[in-house]
Amino acid sequence: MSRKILQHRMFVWQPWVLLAPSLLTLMALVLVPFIQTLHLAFSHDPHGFVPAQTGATLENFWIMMGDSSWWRSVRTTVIFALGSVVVETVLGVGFAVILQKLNTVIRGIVLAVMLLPWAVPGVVAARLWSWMLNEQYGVINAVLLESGLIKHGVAWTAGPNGMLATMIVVDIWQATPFMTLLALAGLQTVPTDALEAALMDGATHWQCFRYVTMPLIWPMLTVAALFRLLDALRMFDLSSVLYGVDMNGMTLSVFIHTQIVQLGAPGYGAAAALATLGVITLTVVLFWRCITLPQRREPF
Amino acid sequence: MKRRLSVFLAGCALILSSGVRAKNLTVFCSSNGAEMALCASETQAWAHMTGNTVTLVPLPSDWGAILPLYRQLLSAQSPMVDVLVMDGTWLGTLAPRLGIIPRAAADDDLTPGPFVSSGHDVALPWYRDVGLLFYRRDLLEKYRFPVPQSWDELGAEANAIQKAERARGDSALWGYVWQGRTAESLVCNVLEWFGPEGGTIVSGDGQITLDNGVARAAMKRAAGWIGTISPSGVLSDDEEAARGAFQSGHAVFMRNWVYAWALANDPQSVIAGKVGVAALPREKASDPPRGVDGTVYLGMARNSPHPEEALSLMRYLTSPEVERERVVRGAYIPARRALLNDPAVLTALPVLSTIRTALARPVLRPVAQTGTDYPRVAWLAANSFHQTLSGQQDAAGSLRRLSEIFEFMARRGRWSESRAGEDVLEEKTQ
Repeated sequence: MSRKILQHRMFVWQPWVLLAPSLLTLMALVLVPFIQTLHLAFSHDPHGFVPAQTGATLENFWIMMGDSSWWRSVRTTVIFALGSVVVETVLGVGFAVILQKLNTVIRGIVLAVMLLPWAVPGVVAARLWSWMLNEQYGVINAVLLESGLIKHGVAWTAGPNGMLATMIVVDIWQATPFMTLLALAGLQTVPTDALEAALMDGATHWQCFRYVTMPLIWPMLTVAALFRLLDALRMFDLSSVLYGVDMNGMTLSVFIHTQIVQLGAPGYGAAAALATLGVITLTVVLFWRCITLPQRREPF
Repeated sequence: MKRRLSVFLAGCALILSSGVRAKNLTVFCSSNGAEMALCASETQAWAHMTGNTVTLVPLPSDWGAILPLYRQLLSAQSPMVDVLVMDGTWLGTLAPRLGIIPRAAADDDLTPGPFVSSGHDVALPWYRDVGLLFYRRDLLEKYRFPVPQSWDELGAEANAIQKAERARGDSALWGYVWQGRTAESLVCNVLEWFGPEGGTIVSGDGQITLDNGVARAAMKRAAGWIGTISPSGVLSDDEEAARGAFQSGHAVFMRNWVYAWALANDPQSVIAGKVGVAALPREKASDPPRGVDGTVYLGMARNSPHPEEALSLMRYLTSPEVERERVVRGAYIPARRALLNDPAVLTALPVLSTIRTALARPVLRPVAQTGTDYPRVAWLAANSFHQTLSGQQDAAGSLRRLSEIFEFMARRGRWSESRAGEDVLEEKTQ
């Protein structure tokens, strides 16, 4: 009876009407800007004394292929994202294991304190670290000089490697708490009886962790790492605040922003944005294959 | 009752007629307090004189955020701005959207002249600035050194004083601080090292002249300063960071703009009264003094609904009377040659007599020759120069690569058609 009523009353257009508000919102927020970006990416920018021409062109992509500053930002972004996410995941699991051994009250307090860096906005964190790392007045150089470890102040962000390393360190400082929290949540789901059974069978603690705990929390960790990776690949704040328009520390997001806002080349910026989408997709797909591969190969 | 009605009608007529006659101009002229107050009083005086009104809009305090803002405002369909203050480096980019200013006899006195784009004047110089050498007069006197005239002399003096002072216990003293951060000011520093023979990246007729022997030698010499007479941190310094080091007594020489003079001699400053200022050194001591021109211009939006009023306001703001007042009240260097001999101006800004030589022959950045491409030229150049100075690339290789990129951009953007020509860039400030 109820089935009949349902069939009778449901028209084909009904679900579409119900979905319409969210579809329209999505279109306005995602599809329209995306199509505009597509359009811009294939249109001309003004150059020198040549005003922007009309008509579609592949010029922007052609220029990008030979633009060393673009390739440098691709390199910076990918190394930054992979470097920081891998370290954050490893550290996050490590901290989570330690935290799990603490009693609930202390764990709560420690966790709350640990989460503070995650609560600091990226721009503030970047400004904070740039002061701490300052060659002349920075607290880090002051401590190292005082303790006699270095003789002259170190210009931490003077070279391209130092700039990249600094960004990775700041991101690790900021995002490790997030990974710790997720890893801890994963650890809580590991059934204690499985661990006890393994111990009973003579497994060492390391073997328990490696062959019981890790496989159980692995799916959760990979998803968490993937989220972090997507976040890190579009990082803007640290690079922009720490290095401005310096090509050495420029990530893809800052590159796009520089082209459009500072250099007044919306077409080239849009082309770079599209290409960035490609870089992110490629990195994420490769990353996903790499981390899901061991699971397929090894029969846990 | 009738009388009341007539008064009311007359009032209405007055309001309506004044509404038709008086125009309201939107003016962008400053961001900070003192400058804004000066600008407000000047524009108010003009408004009073002409019966128009002026709305001042404060600019972001970060000068770098203004160019993107102007791009948006000027390309908007509806006019959002009438008169705007502009850095000299933005003019090539903004020129297609700026109103054309008819030549007037009063413009002949302006230095450097009005900015020309495609054969038309689009901006009038408002006040000037120039790269200068600041030095510790007390230290130079102590070691009996003259003010350096060439870069090699500066290197030798900085080295000698730094060594001697450090031996006396002042371990934090450095010889020379400048602006090495990857930014526009690094381009200024580099063009000053190049001198007349090293050129200004792009010649007046749009040819790339960057890759030459003098430029290579200048880059090598400057790279040699890092870690010897300049701290390695100079590569992340801007104007304020360099001034911080100099003003706290940690440097013998500094390259900076005119504003540093008043601050260095402020009673709060530890080096007050011990500072000297001069034109920057040159490649050869016999070359004429050259510092990069930092003139600030006024222009109007091409789509301004009140072009006549906007022009009138610009002419008023660049008039000798207002320029004189700006020196007296705000220490702005006037953009009028005749005022450099004016007693009131010289009394208000005595340093003018010392820096006259630098003001006479400024180095102009290749803004007129590169059109809308200048921001990209400066960005690429600053990054390449920075990599050379920090030792990631050798001078010859990086100048060659940069030249190749600029050759490509010049063909694409038809820089040779700029019609800027030598006649425009010629040092008409003489």
